[in-house]
Amino acid sequence: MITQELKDYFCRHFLGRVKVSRLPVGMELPRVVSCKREAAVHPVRTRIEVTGSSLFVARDILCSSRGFRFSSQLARVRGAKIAKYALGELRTHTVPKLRAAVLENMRRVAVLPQERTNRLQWQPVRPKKDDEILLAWFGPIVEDAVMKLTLNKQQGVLLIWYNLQSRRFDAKGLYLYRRLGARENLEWRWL
Amino acid sequence: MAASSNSLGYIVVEGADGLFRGASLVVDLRGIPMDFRHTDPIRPTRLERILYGSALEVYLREELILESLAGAVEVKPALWICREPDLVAPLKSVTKGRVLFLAPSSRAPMEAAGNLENAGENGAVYMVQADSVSAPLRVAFPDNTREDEVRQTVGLLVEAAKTMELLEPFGRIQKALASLGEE
Repeated sequence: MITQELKDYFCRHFLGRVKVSRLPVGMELPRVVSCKREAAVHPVRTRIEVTGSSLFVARDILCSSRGFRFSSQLARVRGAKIAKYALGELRTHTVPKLRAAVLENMRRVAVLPQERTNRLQWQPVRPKKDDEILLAWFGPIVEDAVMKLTLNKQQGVLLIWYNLQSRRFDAKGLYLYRRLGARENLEWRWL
Repeated sequence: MAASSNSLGYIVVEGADGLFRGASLVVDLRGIPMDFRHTDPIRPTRLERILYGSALEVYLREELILESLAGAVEVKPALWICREPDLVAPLKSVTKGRVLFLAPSSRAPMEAAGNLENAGENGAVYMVQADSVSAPLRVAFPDNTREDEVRQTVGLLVEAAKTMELLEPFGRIQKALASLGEE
């Protein structure tokens, strides 16, 4: 302290200097602290997820055991209140074994005619007169058992209805001719 | 079950668009029907298709339909005829009788009715001239069929071909099934 005073004294006398001290006049800006509070929102509810799954025999399985039960007052599924739960045990459904039911139906097939196609191309025996053309050969046919014959002209097929009670077995062939001349017509001949 | 030595049994099993059914027709040697049976159509559900997997079709055709039909027939035929070659073996094991597969051919006729010729394929497959007014028929017997049994069966075919067309009953079965399907 004395040293500083001595320094100032000699400076003033010998160097003519006066110590000038700087005194700041400005004040520091005050620190502004906000008292506003931010509230962090955290949901405390448990998130409910509803997962659906379809079972192939869903209508035969009742999924309602104790583990599945919860109060309808507490839970809402997609906004809708759950009102009712099916009660009961887990029910399993057995798949029935594949079966083939066989039905007898003789009447169905008895009315169907037998069919004969024209096999003239294979028939080596072709008896014919000069004034006729051989058109077709149908066989074998048991002539004495025949009840009705019809020619399907569009398909060239002969339809045969047999008498189901007949005991005849002698088969023949049926030739179809076209007669030439003024009175041109078709003619059937058994051989 | 009455056995008839003068009858032929035709059996058809169909499976298309997921629908299976079958029919059998026993005829005398003139083609006159003696017994006709058919199964209700079977349409396996999706679950059954999953459960049975690839075995479903074989099970339906070879066991369920074939076995049910052959078991239900009251007139036991002397010979069972099918038109699907893969049914020959199961039909043989189900019926324990004579069985063959029959199909038309476009081959030139052989010399005489009763002639048979090995078709040169695997198994017992023959070309058979059943009558003198048609092309030979392609006939397949179950494996291990003895030669004398083949000749005996061909003899029956020749006998039947004198009074009926051997493949014609398949057409009638088809028509009967079609009419049942329309109901």
